[in-house]
Amino acid sequence: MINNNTIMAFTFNTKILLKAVFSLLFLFILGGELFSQDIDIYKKGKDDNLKSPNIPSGMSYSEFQILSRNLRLKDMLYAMVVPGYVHFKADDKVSGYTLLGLRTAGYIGLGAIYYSYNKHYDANYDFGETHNGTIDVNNYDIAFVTSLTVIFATYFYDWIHGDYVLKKKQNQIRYKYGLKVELQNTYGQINTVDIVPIASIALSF
Amino acid sequence: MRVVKYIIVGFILLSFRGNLIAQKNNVFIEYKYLELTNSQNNIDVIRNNYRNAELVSDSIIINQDENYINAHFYYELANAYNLGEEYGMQAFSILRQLILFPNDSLKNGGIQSFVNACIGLGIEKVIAVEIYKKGAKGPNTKGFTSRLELLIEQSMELYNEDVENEIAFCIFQYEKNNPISSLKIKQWKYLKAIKLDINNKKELMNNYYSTTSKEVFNNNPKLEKRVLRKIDKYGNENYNLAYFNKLFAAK
Repeated sequence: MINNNTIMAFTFNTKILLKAVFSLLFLFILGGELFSQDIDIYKKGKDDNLKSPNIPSGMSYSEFQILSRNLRLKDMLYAMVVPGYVHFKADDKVSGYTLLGLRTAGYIGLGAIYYSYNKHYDANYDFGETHNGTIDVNNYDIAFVTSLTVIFATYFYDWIHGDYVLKKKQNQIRYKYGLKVELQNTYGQINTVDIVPIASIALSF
Repeated sequence: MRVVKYIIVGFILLSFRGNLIAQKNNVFIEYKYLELTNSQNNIDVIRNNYRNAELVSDSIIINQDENYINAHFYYELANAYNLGEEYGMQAFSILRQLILFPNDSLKNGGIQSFVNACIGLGIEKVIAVEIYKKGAKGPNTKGFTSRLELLIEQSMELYNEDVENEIAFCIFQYEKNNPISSLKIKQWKYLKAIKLDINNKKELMNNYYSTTSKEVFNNNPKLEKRVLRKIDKYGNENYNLAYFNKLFAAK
């Protein structure tokens, strides 16, 4: 006879076991992630920085820097803190500084709303008045929504447009040096032939 | 022993020829690239290559290598600048080829491109043709230095700051191999260093053969004041008043 206590114990143990299995699976899946010391999904080798790249002649350091840059998830977080971060990363300083200015204006707007709203509220509270008729809530709402829109719009613009700019610049650089290497392979040898003196004998029947 | 000498000389000549082949190849590859990108009319791609094309142009000037490919290269470079709406550099590309490497001139295409560039800069067609013809005539004396002097003179007619900066770089490259440059080049360098504007620079440089100290300033006290003010502001140990007097002394 199996009593109720045994059933309960079994149920309890199964629950613990399932929890343990799922926890292990979760850890296993995220194992690589935990060792990568990053929040990105793809793997990054520790010796990546030791590899010497093949740099085409004529490539400038800024071009090399742009080609070496990838947008990663952590950049999304950085872009939240530093306005225009992605554009700065894509070496588009004009857009970067514009976004920096706009986002700062957005923050200042939010700060000003918070400060003036509190001041107004405190003043009315001291006199024992209700909010009705003393505070024009609509004005604060408009200013608040505008500031918030500016902050979010600049963030998303920075992220999406910055990604576009970076990829566009990388494509231009890759195209330039890639095509030149191909041209070198195609014309490099042919071009040298015409200035090398050649003596030959031909027989015709 | 003679055989050994000949072998050594042969090796030196071969290595020299190797450099020339590499140089010729670079110019040819750059010319082909410019031709391909110009035909696509993608302004971003074209502008992205300006720096690389100028590097090749510098190498041509440093090596003073006269080759038929140079003409094609400079013509395509001028087209690239035209597409990027940089008319000063377009005209300068044609002038560089015309004056520094006259053997390679593309006579028909060159003048048309130069005139178009000048019109883009706001220079009248008649004056543009005059500048081109003077450049095509070449300097009175032989040698690369005198050609460089003529290039400076003709380029000043374009009144373009980008061109001025490029000339300064050309002179810098040229002086790597030829440290003693001419008086005219030294004068130009001095006036560029004190940031005198092109109009005044041209006025001073035109008085190259002046016999009195007043003639140096074209009897223009305003010009004298302006120059002294610039020396005071931008002059340094190398570019001081004493050096100015030495460079611009009456002949």
